[in-house]
Amino acid sequence: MASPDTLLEVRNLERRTRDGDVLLAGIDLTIRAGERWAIGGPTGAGKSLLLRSLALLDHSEGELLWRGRPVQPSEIPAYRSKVTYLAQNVAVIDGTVEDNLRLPLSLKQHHEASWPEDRILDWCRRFQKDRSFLSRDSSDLSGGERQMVSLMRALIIEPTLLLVDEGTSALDSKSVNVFEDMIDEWLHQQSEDRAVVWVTHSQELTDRVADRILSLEGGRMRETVA
Amino acid sequence: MFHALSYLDVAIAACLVLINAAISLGLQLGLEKRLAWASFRTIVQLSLVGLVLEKVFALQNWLLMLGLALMMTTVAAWSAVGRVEHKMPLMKINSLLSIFASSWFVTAVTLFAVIGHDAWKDHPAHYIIPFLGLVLGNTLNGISLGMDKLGDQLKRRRGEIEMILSLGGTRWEAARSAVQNAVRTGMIPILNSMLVVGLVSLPGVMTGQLLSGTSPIEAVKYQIVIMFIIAAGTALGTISVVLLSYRRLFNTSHQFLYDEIRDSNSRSGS
Repeated sequence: MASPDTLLEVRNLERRTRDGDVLLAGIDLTIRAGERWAIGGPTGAGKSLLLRSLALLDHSEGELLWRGRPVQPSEIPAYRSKVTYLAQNVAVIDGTVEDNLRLPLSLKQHHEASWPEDRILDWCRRFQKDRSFLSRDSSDLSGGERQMVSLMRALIIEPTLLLVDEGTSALDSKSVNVFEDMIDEWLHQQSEDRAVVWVTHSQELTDRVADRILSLEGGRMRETVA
Repeated sequence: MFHALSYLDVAIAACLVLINAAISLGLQLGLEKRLAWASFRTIVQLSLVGLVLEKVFALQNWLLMLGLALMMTTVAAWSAVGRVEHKMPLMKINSLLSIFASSWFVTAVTLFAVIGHDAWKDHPAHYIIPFLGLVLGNTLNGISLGMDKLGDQLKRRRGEIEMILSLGGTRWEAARSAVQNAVRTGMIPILNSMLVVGLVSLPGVMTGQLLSGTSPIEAVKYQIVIMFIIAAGTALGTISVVLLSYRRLFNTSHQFLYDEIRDSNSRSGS
């Protein structure tokens, strides 16, 4: 029986290629409220794949429990609005930054949510952007600006567990701090009910943002450090 | 009024292909072999169709008509996906189901509801085969363009699709834009044809009827019917094949099966 603060639990998670080659195997992981995880390991270790599997974006074998029970297929959109994955290569839709930030609110899952204008302007300000940033054409955004949009777009829907895949790789050091601070604040607003998982190559980032570390190598767990 | 062509007349027209050959040689286009092969196929395929139709029209046998109609449908379905750049799971089956359902449905509506059974009950093959052929030929184009666009959209917009899924979007919300673009692309050629029909060129069926002595007003009525059944067949066929492909590529767990889309390795000429 999972403890009440257990958010996500995976047992013996496994993912193979079509030809049967192992991409991920034997992954056991329990993420509790308030925890800050970092997943490390060399390139090709399966870090991003693990994050995608936790977001149920790919089919994988094994057991995944959200708050102690399996997620039914019909519940997956609701699950993903709670367990939200931020991709390494940020995709934007055609239109302005505001169009991109409003996108989640146009989905059935969030149709009752309102547009948090004050919060968004505050986030922009912290990233050294003024209101005109919202009118910028998304095709003109730099990689770093896309990562800012990606974080804001996810925070608007107030997820429970954020899965951040190399989320700050294109940001300057000042914006990296803002990004990390924003996630920390989001976490502490309801630390009894929220958690974050970072995928990163950077030991420095891991030291700053994580208190638990999972190391992967060749798709398998090498060690877990509390 | 109707003037039957002799084989010599046909041979003279066939010689016009020498113009194409001369251009190809003059500009070193390298199309001579393909031209020869295309000309050969045009003559052989149409001659065979002529022979088969002679037999089918003479016998008016339902089994024979059904066999021919099924063969035409299958060839159309296979051709529709033959040149699609991105291969998707069960593409041929999806194409066959879509082209079969859409073309046979609109042909049936035309024969029973528009023309009426009494008009063709004594010689059904004269109506069923040409109408079905017309619808198949156009629906094939819609399916081919729609599938090509769908594959292209899904390949290029993977990041956007997975971003929408990641934010809690359903599979339909994630795929909707790609599906809309694909269906729109499949329907554009027939819509364009409807805009210029009669202004730029006289359609084949109308020309045929005029040549055989039908009054222009009667020929126009038939052509209007044909334009609308082609439009309906193309719309149904395109939306059907795009939705079937969508269901194969987005499972009930709201996952996008991107790896199931394969690039076509060979794109041989006709």
